[in-house]
Amino acid sequence: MKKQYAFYFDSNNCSGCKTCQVACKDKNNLPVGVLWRRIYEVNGGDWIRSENTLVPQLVAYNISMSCNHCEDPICVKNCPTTALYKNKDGLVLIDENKCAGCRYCEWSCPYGSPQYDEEKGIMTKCDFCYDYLKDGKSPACVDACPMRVLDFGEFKELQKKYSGIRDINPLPSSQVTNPAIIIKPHRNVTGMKDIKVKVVNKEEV
Amino acid sequence: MDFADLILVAFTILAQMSVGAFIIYNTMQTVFVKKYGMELLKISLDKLLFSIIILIAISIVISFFHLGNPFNAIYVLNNLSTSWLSREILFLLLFFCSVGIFSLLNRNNLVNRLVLSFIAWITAVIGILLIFSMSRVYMLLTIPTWETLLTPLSFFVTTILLGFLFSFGIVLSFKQEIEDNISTYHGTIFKKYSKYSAVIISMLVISGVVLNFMQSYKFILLQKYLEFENVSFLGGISWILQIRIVLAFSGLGLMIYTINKSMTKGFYSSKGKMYMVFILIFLSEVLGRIFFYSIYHRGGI
Repeated sequence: MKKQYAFYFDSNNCSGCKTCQVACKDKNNLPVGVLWRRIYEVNGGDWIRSENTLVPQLVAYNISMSCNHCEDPICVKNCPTTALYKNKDGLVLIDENKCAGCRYCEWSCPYGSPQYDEEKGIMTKCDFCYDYLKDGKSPACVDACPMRVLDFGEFKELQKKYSGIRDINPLPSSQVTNPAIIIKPHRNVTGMKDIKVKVVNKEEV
Repeated sequence: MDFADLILVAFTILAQMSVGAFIIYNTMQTVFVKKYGMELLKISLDKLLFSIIILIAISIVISFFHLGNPFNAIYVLNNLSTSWLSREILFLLLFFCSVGIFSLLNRNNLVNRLVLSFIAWITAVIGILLIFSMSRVYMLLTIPTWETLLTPLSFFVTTILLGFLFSFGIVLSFKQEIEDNISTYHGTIFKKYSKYSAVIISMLVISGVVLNFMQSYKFILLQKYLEFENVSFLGGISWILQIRIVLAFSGLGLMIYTINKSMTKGFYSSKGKMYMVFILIFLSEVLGRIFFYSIYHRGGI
C-alpha cells in the first residue's frame, strides 16, 4: 500500500485568523499574490418557513485550504513537462527545473492550488513542508494554528483518528480528484446541504 | 482577458488557419491540378504552400511567449501518455515538419505524384489531429464553460473557414497571370468552384456565430447554476459578440457581392474586395476566440 500524507481540518473550530496562511507564507518566503494556504470565508443562507413564520437559517464558516495532494491529481495528469509529480509519500510536488510556466495546472486544479510566481515565471505550490517532514517536524501551518484545527498524517490513520468528510460546500466533489483531506464540517452545516453558500472574501484568496 | 490569453488567441487562430489552408491547398491541388489539369494554378499553389509554412512557424514562435520559462519548453513532450497539451505540441511540430518535407519534395520533384499525394493526405490528417488535441486541451472537467462539444466544433469551423479565405487570398494575389492565360473551359470550372466555395464559406461564417451564441447560452445557464461572482450574464462581454456579428455579416455580404461581380468581370479586378472580406471575417473570428477565452470560469474553489 502506497503512503499518502493528508491534512485534517476542523471547520467547526476555525476562527479564520489566517495564522496558518501567514506561517506558510513566511516559511516558504512567498511573494505578494502567492498563497499556498488560503482561508476561504464562506457564508450563505435563506429564509425558511416555520409554521406561519419565516425565520432566517444562516451559515458562516471558514475553510483553510492548501494543496490536497490528491490521490488522482488532475494537475499531474495534465502537466505537459512532468514538472508536477506525485512522490513516494503521496505528495504532489513540483520540479522547478522542469516547469515551463504554461499555467495549465492552474486551469486544471479545482482547489486553486498551483500558483504562478511572476518573478520566477513558473508555477509554485504547497509541498507539505517536506523538508520539515524529513526532519520529523510538522508542516508550518499545522504547528502555527492557535485553534489547533489543523492536523496532518498518513491518510488512513487520519481517517481512523477523525470522523470527517471530504465534500463540503463550496468545494468541488471529491470524486473529481480524490483529495487527501478530511474536514470536520461546521456544526451548522449538518443537515443543511441545500443552503446556498458562497466565498465572500474572493479578493483575498 | 490578459496578455497571456491574447497570445493564446493569436496562437490558436494562426495554427488553425494554417491547418485549414493546407487542407484547402490539398483539395485545390487534387481538384484543379490533378483532375482538371490546371497547371497554371501550380505557381499560386506553391506560393500558398510557402505561406502556410511561414504561418505555422509564426504560430510556433508565438506559443513561446505564453510560457513563463521558455527555456524549459524542451520538456513539453514529456507527458504524451496523459497530457493533451503535450499531444497538441507534438502534433504542431509534426505538422510543421510534415508540411516542410512535403514542400521540399514537391518543389524538387524528388518523388512521384502518388507518394507526394500520400504525404499530403497524411499531413492533412496530422493537421486534423492537431486541431482535435487543441480542443481537448480546453475541454477540462474543471472548466465547465469549455467542457462541451461546442469547443471542438468551433475550432474546426475556424480552421476550415480561415483556411478557405487565406488560400483564396494567396491564390488571388498571383492570379493576373492565370486570368490572362486560362482557357475558357478552366475558367468555367474555376467559377463553378468559386460559387461552391462561397456557399461553404457562408455556412461556416453563420455556424461560427451560432456556435458562439450556443457557448454564451451555456455560460448563462452555468452562471445561474454555479452563481459565478463578479459577472452578470454577458454584461461585460456582450459587446464582443455584437461587433463579431457585424464584422462577420459585413464580410459575408461583401463576399457574395464580390464573387457575383467576378463571374462577369473576372477575379483579379476584385482582388482588393476579397482581401477586405478576409480581413473582416478574420477579425470576426478573432473576436469569437476572444469571447471563448472570456467565458473561462474554473469550477471549484
